Amino acid sequence: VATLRQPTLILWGAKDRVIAPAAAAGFERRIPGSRRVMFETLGHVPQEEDPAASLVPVKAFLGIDG
Amino acid sequence: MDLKLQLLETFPPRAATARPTRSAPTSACAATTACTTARSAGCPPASPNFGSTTAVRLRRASRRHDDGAAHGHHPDQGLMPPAYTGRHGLTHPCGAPMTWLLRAIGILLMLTAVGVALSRAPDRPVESLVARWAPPPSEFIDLDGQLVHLRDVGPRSDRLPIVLLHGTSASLHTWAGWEAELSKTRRVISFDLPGFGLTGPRADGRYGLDDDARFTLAVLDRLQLAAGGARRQLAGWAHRLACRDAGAAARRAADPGRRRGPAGFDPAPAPGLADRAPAGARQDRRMAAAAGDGGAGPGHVLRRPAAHHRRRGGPLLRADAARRQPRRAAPAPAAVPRPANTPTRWRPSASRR
Repeated sequence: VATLRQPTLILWGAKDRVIAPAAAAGFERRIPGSRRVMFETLGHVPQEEDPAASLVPVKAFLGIDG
Repeated sequence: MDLKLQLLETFPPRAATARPTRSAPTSACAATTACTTARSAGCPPASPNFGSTTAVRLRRASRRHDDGAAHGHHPDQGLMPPAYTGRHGLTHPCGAPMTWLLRAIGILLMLTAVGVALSRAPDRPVESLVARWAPPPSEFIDLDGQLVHLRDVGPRSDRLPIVLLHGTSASLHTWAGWEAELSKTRRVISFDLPGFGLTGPRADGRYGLDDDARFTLAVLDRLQLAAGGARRQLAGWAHRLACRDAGAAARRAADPGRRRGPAGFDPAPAPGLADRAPAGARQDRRMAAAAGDGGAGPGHVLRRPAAHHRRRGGPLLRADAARRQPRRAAPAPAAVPRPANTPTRWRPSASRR
């Protein structure tokens, strides 16, 4: 993970009961320049639980309008 | 012969009918008592074996009565010791709980059988799943004999398609919401990894990280996304499988300087998780290092050249090196060819595009 140099967006559900949300901070720390977004109300699969809300930071990250 | 004995021989104890399991010990005891009584009374025995043979006969008679009427056991079992009968029957001399225990077990067994029958989901042929799970825009391509379920939606004029990789125990369907929204303005590609969704099993049975990474690149190659100056973005989801694919595949396919870079999650084992994770995590670190050597770009520093050369001799980087051979010229992404023939393993029921 620490070898990643690509622009990286880390999305994590704060209610994830499969992998502890604290792990997201670890990724953020190890991937230089990465950005982390936590979804307070979502769990392990944000893209299924709330596609619209979870897509917002992705669109911003990719530079997609709307 | 003693009257008591004659009566016993002629009329096996009625108690046997009412309390089958107790009848045998009772009758045996009666016979023994009778013999003892007869001898002690000074009566000469009818034969040297009088006592024992009568007792056996009595046991047989009562057993025959018990087993035949109450349990249906074979009469030959009448030779078993009388005490055996009690343990063999539904009621133990200690009382009713045995019966209820057996009944409870029986009921449980029946309920289990019913439950299993109701919940059983037999394997279904893939064809029967297509209508429900692979309606258009799903399509199937034949990738060197490997059937691949994929969706490729959005404007073909998009020069920077978005690739969505699902995670463990998932399928391309996990991206339905994102796909619908993103495809309004972007070309979005998702597919089922081997062993998941409707992409069939791998012919070689290999499901390692490098296998999935190669598979991912092969699919994108087929879509002519990896060729020439085509750039791509990979978004992998939060399972190690997908994220490793995203990271490794992106780096391995990368032509440094020409790629804008993948957009993605990299949910490989988190710090602290990695040490506890078994082979997969170690494999992950190895892969990250190997892929980094191959594709991290000119700025990457090799700290362990010896290890690097060992890795380069491995199958992963041989494939990687082959992939970096001069590529064919890339046509515009819009001109994506589709396989002329239908998949060889099975034919999707619905027409694709």
